[in-house]
Amino acid sequence: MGLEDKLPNGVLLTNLERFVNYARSTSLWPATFGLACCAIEMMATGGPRHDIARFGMEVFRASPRQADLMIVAGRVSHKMAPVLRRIYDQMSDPKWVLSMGVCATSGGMFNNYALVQGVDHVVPVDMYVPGCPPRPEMLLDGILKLHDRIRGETFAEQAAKS
Amino acid sequence: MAEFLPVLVLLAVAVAFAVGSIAVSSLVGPRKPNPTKLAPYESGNAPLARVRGTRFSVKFYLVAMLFLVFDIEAVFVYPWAVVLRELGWAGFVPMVAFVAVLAVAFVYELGRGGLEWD
Amino acid sequence: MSALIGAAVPAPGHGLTAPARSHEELAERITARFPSVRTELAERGPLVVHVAASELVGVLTYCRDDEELACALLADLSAVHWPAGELVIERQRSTTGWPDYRVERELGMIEVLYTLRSVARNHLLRVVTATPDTAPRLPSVTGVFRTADFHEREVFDLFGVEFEGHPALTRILMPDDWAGHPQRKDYPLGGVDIPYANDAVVPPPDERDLRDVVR
Repeated sequence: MGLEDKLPNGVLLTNLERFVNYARSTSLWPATFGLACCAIEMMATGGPRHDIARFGMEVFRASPRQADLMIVAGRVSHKMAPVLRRIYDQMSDPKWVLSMGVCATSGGMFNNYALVQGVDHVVPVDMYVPGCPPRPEMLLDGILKLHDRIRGETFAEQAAKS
Repeated sequence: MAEFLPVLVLLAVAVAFAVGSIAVSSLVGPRKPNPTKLAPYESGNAPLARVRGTRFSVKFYLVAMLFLVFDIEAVFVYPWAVVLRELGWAGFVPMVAFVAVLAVAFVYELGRGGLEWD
Repeated sequence: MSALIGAAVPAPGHGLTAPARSHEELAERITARFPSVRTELAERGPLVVHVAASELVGVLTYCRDDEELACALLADLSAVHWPAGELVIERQRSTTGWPDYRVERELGMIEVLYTLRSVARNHLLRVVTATPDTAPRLPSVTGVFRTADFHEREVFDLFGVEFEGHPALTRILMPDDWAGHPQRKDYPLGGVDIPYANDAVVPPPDERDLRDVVR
């Protein structure tokens, strides 16, 4: 029915939005989209030293239908771009995208014919994490900033995202 | 019977939670369908297989039929085994005849290769 | 050591520490069977055998089937594009002291290199063939070594060499509808300008002159 998308924007919903956003941000399940070297750092973030499970994110879902956050970790070639877009389309709402590393953010050191110069040409990105590769602490910093953004969202903003 | 009341309550709570979660999320959750989202998941590639055109092996049907026949036979053998001592020879002979009929069917099936999967 | 040379395959843990046959012996053996090939022996490098495209499949089959050569493994199949004309790489001799790099060719060629390894005899040799870059075609060696399938697709994708007899010659690394063959020397690198927040713009790497960028 999608009642959430049709709710009017107003003061009455603030507490409900806060509760729902808190729940969403603390149980954000990432989709595995590790493409290259950044995937190794993403795996390290899931390891015991820099534990991503303490933020509720240890379950990296292989199926996009069960995932909330797509962490694009690595280089996206022109051959991979339609696959990336299709996986993004098949994720169920609400969904967010975090672009990890400079290759996903802007093409990185590979300024050439083979790679998409920035994954925001393909999918809408909510958080960019630079680095080559970013240390797990940097990725966690980006994820926590994304949590803050999610907690500040209203239902209307989420409904406006297509 | 009163000892089982907590179990019933637990069952009711579990069912209510499951049904409630699904109901709330289907009522309230965002609904933004688009053709790509509804297409089957094939690791990001365009869907290739024709779902209705895929054929189903008949071996599954054969296994189900054979299972059914011999399972019904077993269902008859179990209570007979429990009361056999009281029945004596008068109970033994009809069962042998019953099993013999089904054994003929079993031998035929073995000979025709019905138990070969490949 | 000499007792081990000529043995069939060494037992595990008791391998040969040196190749069974030296490069000179291998070169002699190949030239004895195929008199028209040219062998090249660098001091510390592998044996390189230059063949014509028509003899390629014969030479590779011989290298695989012969007991002395016994090259059962096609370790690599790659290509190099030598374009026609002159190529100059400036090296700023006044500051570095290095002369400019210059090569000049009349006819553009695409050289395809087949690296063969022998596991039983512990040696490595390279078979090199060339084809003109205007209409490059070569016989496919998938009948000799099945692993050449993907490698030939890669050479076709990136250099444009058509392999006759290949079961399914399609692009493998670039998208299927890509035009052009990227690893040729005349294919542009294809980068984009990099804008910075302070309105400075850095051009892509192949259009950059480092003397302007680095001060």
